Amino acid sequence: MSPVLPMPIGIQIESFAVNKGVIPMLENPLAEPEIEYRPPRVGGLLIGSVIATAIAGWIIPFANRWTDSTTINSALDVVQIALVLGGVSAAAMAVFLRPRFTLGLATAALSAGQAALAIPPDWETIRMAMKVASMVAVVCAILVWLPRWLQRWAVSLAILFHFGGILVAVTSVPPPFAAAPWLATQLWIRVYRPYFQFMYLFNAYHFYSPDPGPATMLWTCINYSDDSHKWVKMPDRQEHMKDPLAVCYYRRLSLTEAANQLLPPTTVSAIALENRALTGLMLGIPTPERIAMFIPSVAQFREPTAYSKQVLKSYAQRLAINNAPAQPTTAITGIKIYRVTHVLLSPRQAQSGKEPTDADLYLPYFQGDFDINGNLKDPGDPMLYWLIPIINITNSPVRPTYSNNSSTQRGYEFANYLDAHAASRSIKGQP
Amino acid sequence: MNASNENSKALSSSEYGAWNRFWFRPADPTTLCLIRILAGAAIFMIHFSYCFDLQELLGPHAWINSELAAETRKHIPVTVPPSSWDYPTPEPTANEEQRQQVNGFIRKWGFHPIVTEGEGNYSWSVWFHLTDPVAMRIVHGAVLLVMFLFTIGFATRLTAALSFLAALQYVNRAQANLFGMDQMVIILALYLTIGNSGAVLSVDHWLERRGFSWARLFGGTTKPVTVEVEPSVSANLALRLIQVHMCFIYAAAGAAKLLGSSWWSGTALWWAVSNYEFTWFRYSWYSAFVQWLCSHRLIWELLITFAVVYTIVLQFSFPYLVWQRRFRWMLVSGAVLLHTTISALMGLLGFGLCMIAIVLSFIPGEATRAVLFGSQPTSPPPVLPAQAEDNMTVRLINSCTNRSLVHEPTTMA
Repeated sequence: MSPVLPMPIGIQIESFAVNKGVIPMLENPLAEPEIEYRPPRVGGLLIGSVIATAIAGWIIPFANRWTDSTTINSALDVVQIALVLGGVSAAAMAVFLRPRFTLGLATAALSAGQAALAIPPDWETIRMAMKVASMVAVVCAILVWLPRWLQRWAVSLAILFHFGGILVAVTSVPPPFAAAPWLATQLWIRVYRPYFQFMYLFNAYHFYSPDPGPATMLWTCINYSDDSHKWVKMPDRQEHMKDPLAVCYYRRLSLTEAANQLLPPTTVSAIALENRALTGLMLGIPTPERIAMFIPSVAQFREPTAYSKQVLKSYAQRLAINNAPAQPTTAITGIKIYRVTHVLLSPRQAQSGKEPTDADLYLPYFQGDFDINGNLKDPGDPMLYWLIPIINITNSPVRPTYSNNSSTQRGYEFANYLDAHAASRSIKGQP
Repeated sequence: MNASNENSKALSSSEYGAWNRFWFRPADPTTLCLIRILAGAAIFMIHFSYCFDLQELLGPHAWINSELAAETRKHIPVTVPPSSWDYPTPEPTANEEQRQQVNGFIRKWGFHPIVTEGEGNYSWSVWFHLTDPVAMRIVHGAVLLVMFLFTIGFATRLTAALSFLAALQYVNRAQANLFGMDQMVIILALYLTIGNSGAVLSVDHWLERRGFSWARLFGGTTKPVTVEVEPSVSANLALRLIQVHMCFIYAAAGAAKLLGSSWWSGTALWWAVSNYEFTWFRYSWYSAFVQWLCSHRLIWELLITFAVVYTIVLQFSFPYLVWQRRFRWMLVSGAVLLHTTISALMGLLGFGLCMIAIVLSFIPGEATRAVLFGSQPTSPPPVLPAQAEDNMTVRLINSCTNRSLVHEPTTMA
């Protein structure tokens, strides 16, 4: 029930008198004269946009085919870009000035459609976006033309569709050790994927779940032809804190996560295990069984997914660019990448004074030795995707191996096999 | 039977009315405009950071280079569960070439092509195609200018839409280096495009009050602008969309946490605050505090368990209780506290700013205006039946009070 505004008694009497024709309705002498509000003139903008995009979309491609002159073609390309930008901007301005003008929206749709024709095929995503813009303008033109009650119906249906999609996005993520809901997945793939991928709305918002996990880092040892090497660590707070919100630094943490998509832990075949053990023996790295005595409950072999492998290839190429040798006579001979899990401190460790930067809290997994083109130098490397440990051997009655590669940090003694592995030459094939 | 029909008609009518009132009642846009400023600042700062990393994140030889970006965009397989209980059995390959193709596919993507239905995705970005460093800088500079204009509320309807479209260019190209804040930026920019987020607290409003009007520039005339802000349906729609989306975010975040053992054991927050890469461990005072805390188990348990319970209870109850007026202030304050704490402890300032901007959508425009301009919050405009406007009394009241009465939204039926 809507609340009824209480009326002053004077107004009620006046109203009654006017209604009954007892007194004529008085003109308010202070009232401003009625002004007829005139909409902005957008015809010129719209006609200009249609003509510009028509020339860009129809005439210039035809002219380009007609002439073989490179100079003329290049000039036409520049004119085409200018016309597309100008035409689309004019249409956008017209819509901005008169957003509820049906004819204006329809004309803007035509301009966007023509602009899509002018966009070269290798800019296919922008061409797609322009087609979508054209369709959206058509829908908006119809929407503003509809009566208000139908507009509300249409908007209501759009809202339901939109939030239905958000629900699907939220629920179509597979829970740990199980498949994603069948219905949500089907709806996602068959109904919502185009819309949500185009609008980038497919996040599931599962923040810090199922459990907050450790950060992943990438440590890279770049070897040069003059036998020198360089360690590059990502992210590095000193190097990557570039902006006030530290966004650059956090983006590096996301980049490392992209390389951290792993296949489920699997049983390693006996042959692979033997190869790993023998190669380790040659490099002075203890066998997996011996490592397990010092670092229990850690899967020592973690293979990345196919996507992460492609990501690593791309990263290796970027690392080669970022760390190009200063001398032209020197070349990069190899880029060894380690995916490093930075284990979180337990409360007991924190109480005992252990620092989060203690070396044994880093678990490096060898991701491969890449060339500057991002290709694995030896895809059959027996150490690939294995943990190369840094073991805390302080007060330990036993040693992981007999090799002497220990270092100390804050009074702790560590057996650091990472340095040994990074410094080693690649052992081709099977040992 | 007749009574039952009448009841169901009345019920549906009231449901339609409630739906209409929820989405289409005009609302004071002040809160939306405040959200624009906060979100605009976050959007600008987040994209400003690309100035330092334009080539490293978006260039042709970026960390995710053009080749991989194109491969993902055009050829990433779309896997779909089978319509029956099992996937169809792969047919034996006809020849060596076909067998190599299948093997190559498995090597590349990690599964058999039989589980896929199509390839590629619908992401789009100018950064997929624009690779010239100078042109990239020019476009990035133009984007920052647009986002700045949006933040200050200049040509807001236009710059809001352009900011949203511009933000999409970055997230689509740089999908491997995104964070929660990027998702929130997109959500905010989308909904701020729908609402009239430049109605107040904007250069637009300032200019309009001094006689400038975009319409007048193009030969049109407009109503004179006053200090009073007219409630608008688009502002309400945008605020409602933000509110409902926020409820989805919290419901999903809360429900997903129940899958985690550390949330059940009450230790989850410890694993968040002990993360060296995010928190303040590099400062000795933080390390000393953590060591002290861990030396007092009871205090540790109380603090960490309280934080876990607080997070879970807030995220679970928010979507349901925030609609109750008496709980709203509590939940909104609780959410602001949560995100302020996360920002402070984990350094996720951009994310925190976006989340606080989203949470603000639950504050009524009148209250925002009262805080910002010092005026008392006003009650919502009186609602009269639609047919009442024809009534002479209403016209009289309108002329006497110099105030336009607001219709009750008409029902859809």
